[in-house]
Amino acid sequence: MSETMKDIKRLGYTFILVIMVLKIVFYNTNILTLGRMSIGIFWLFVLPGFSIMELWRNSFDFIERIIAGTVLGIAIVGLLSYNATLINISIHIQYIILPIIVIGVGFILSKKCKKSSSKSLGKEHST
Amino acid sequence: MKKKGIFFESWFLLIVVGLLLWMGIGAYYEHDINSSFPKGFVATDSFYKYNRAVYLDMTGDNKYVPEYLVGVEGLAQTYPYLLFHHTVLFKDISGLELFNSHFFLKIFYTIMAGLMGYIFIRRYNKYVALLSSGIFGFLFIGNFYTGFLFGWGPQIMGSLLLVGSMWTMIHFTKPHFHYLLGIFIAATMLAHIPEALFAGLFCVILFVPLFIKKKDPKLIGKGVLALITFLVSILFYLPILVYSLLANIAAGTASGGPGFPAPMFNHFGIYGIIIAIGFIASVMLLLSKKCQNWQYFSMAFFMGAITFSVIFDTGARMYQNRFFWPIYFAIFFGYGIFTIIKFTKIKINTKLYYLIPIACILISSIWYFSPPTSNGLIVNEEMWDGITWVRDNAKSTDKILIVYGDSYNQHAILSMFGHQVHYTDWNYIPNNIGYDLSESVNKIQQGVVTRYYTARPFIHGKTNPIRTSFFGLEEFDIWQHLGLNYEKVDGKGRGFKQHDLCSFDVVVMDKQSQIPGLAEYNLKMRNELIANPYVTEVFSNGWHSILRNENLGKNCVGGKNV
Repeated sequence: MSETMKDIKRLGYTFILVIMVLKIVFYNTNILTLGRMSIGIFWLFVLPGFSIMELWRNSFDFIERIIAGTVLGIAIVGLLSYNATLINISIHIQYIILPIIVIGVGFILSKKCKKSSSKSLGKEHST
Repeated sequence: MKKKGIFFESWFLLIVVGLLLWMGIGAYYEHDINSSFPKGFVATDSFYKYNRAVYLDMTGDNKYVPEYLVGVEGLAQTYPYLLFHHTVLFKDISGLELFNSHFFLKIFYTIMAGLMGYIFIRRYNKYVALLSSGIFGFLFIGNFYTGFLFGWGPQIMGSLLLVGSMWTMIHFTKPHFHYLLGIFIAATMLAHIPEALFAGLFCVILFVPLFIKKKDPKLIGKGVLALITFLVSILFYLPILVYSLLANIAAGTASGGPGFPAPMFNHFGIYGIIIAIGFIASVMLLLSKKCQNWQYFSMAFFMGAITFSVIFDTGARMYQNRFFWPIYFAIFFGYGIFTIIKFTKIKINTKLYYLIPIACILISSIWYFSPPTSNGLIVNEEMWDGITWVRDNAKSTDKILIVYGDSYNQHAILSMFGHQVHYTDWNYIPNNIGYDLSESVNKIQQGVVTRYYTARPFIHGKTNPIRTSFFGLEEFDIWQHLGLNYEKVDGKGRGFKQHDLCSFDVVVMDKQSQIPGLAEYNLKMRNELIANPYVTEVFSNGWHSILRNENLGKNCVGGKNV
C-alpha cells in the first residue's frame, strides 16, 4: 500500500475516532450534529493543513503532521477567509471553496516536490 | 515495535483530547453542544468579541465597525478578525448556533495548542512529552479558565498560533519552513497582536544564534522571504497595525494588578512542586550539557520570562498569557516526573509513561476541577429570546430604550440587540466616574414613573480611525460627531442627558432582578405605559416585556411631566 493510501486510511480512522470522542463528551447531543462538527473540523482545519504538510512527509511522522497540519490549517484558512472577505467573496460560501483551494495547492506542491526530488535522485544515480 | 508505539500513542492522545474536551466544555455545557442561548459569556468583553462574529455573519463585512455600536457608518474595524471568521465558517459547516461555534472553537484551539506543545517536546524526548501532557488539565481549572468566560477568544487563538510560530521557528532550517513562519506570524497578528509580537521576538532570539552558528547567508534570504510572506498576508491590516501600535505606545501600558482573576503559580497546587523540580532539573541539564537541545526548552523559558515580567510592572495584560502556562511549562512538568523516576531508580514499564499523565489529568479533574456554576450574563433562554426579538424585529429607524437589567452593567451585552440602543443611568455603575445618581434613585425609591429620564446611547469607544486611503487612517471623534459630552460637565458626562420616555419607539424591560425593587419599578413603568391605547406589548415572556409606542411625543405617563 502506498504511503498516501496509508495516510488516507489513518485519516479515516481518526475521523471516526473523533466522532466517537465527541459522542462521549457530548452524550446528550444528536450523533448527526456531532458528525457535522467532525466534518467541520476535518474539512476546515485538518485536511487543508495536512495536505500542505505533505511537503514535509519525510521530516515528520503522521502524528506530527496531523497536529501541526491542523494548526497550520487554522492559520491558512483564517488568513484566506480574512482576505477573501475583503474582496467581497461571501463568507457563507467560503467554507466550501477555501479548503478546496488549500487542499488543491497542497496536492500540487507535493506532486511538484516529489517530481523534483525524484529528478535530483535520478541525476545522483546517473553521476 | 515502532508500529506498536504509534498505536499506543494515538490512543493516548485520543484519551487526552477526550478528557480535555470533557473538562473544557462537556461538563459546563451539560454534555450538549446545542445550548439554546449564549452560555459562558460572563463579561463585557465576551459580547464585544462575539458581536464581531455576529456582524460578520449577518453582513459579510470585516472592514467596518457596525453602525449600531458607534452611531456612524464607515469607521475602520481595527480589531483583528481571524477568530470571527472561523466562528462563522465553523457555524456554516457544522450547523451549530453561532455562539456555540464561538465557545467550542476556543476550547478546540486550546486543546490543539496542548497537542502542539506535545509535539514540540516530543522531538526532544517522547517520554518527557508523554509525561508533560499530565499538566494539561489545568488549562480548564480555576483561574486558568477565566479567558474562556471573559471572552478572550482572540487571545486564546493568538496563543495557539504563537505556539505554532515557535514550533515552526525551531524547524526553521527545514526546506520552505520560512514560508510557514511568515504565514503563522501573520495569522497570529490577525488573531491577537501581542502574541504576534512575542512570536517575532522569539524568532529574533532564536535566529541570531542560529545565524552565528551556521554563518549561512541563505538564512538571511529565508528570513526576508518569511517577512515578505507575512507582509503580503496582512497587507490590508498593516496600516491599522501601525496605527494601533502607535496609539498603544502613546497610551502606555496599564500597570498594577491584573484586574481579573489571573492565574498565579500556586494555583497549580501540588503539581507546581513537580513543575519547580522540572525547572531546576532543566536548568541543571542545560548547564551540564552546554545548552544542548536548548531549543526544546526555549518556549518554556521565553514565555516564563514574558509572563513573570509583570514583577517589573510591564503591564497588567501580561497576566493574560498565563492562561497557557500549562502548555508553556509542560516540559518542566514532564521533565520533573522524568527526573523523579530517574532519581528514585525505579524501573518502570514503558506503558506507565502513557498511564501516568492520564492519571495526572484525572487526579487534577477530581481534586481541582469544577465547571463554572453560572450560565453567564445571558441568564436563560427567555432572556436571549427577548434580545433576539429586538435584533430581528425592531426597525433600523426605531429609537430603543433598555431600562434596568442586572446584566446590562456589563454594557457590551447591549450590542446583542443589534441596534443602537439607549440605556438609563441606573443600568450603569459609574462608581469610578462619580456620577450623581440621586435623582434616579429618588424616583425608584418613591416608585414614581416620570416622563424624563437620564439616559445615554450605547457607544463603543471614544475615538475610532477612519480610512482616508489604503494606507491612510485618520482619528475620528465619535462623541464630538454625535454632539455628546464624553467628559463630565454639570454632574453628567459619557453622553448621559435627559430623554423623554415617550419619544422611544421600543422600550425593553427586564421582569426579574437580583434587586427586587428595580424589577418592581420596571413593572410599574410597564403598567404606566401600557395603560395608553397606543402602547402595545409586542413581546412578553418570563424575563422580558417589550413595548412599542405608536404615538411618539404624546404624554405617555399620565400627565406627570416631572
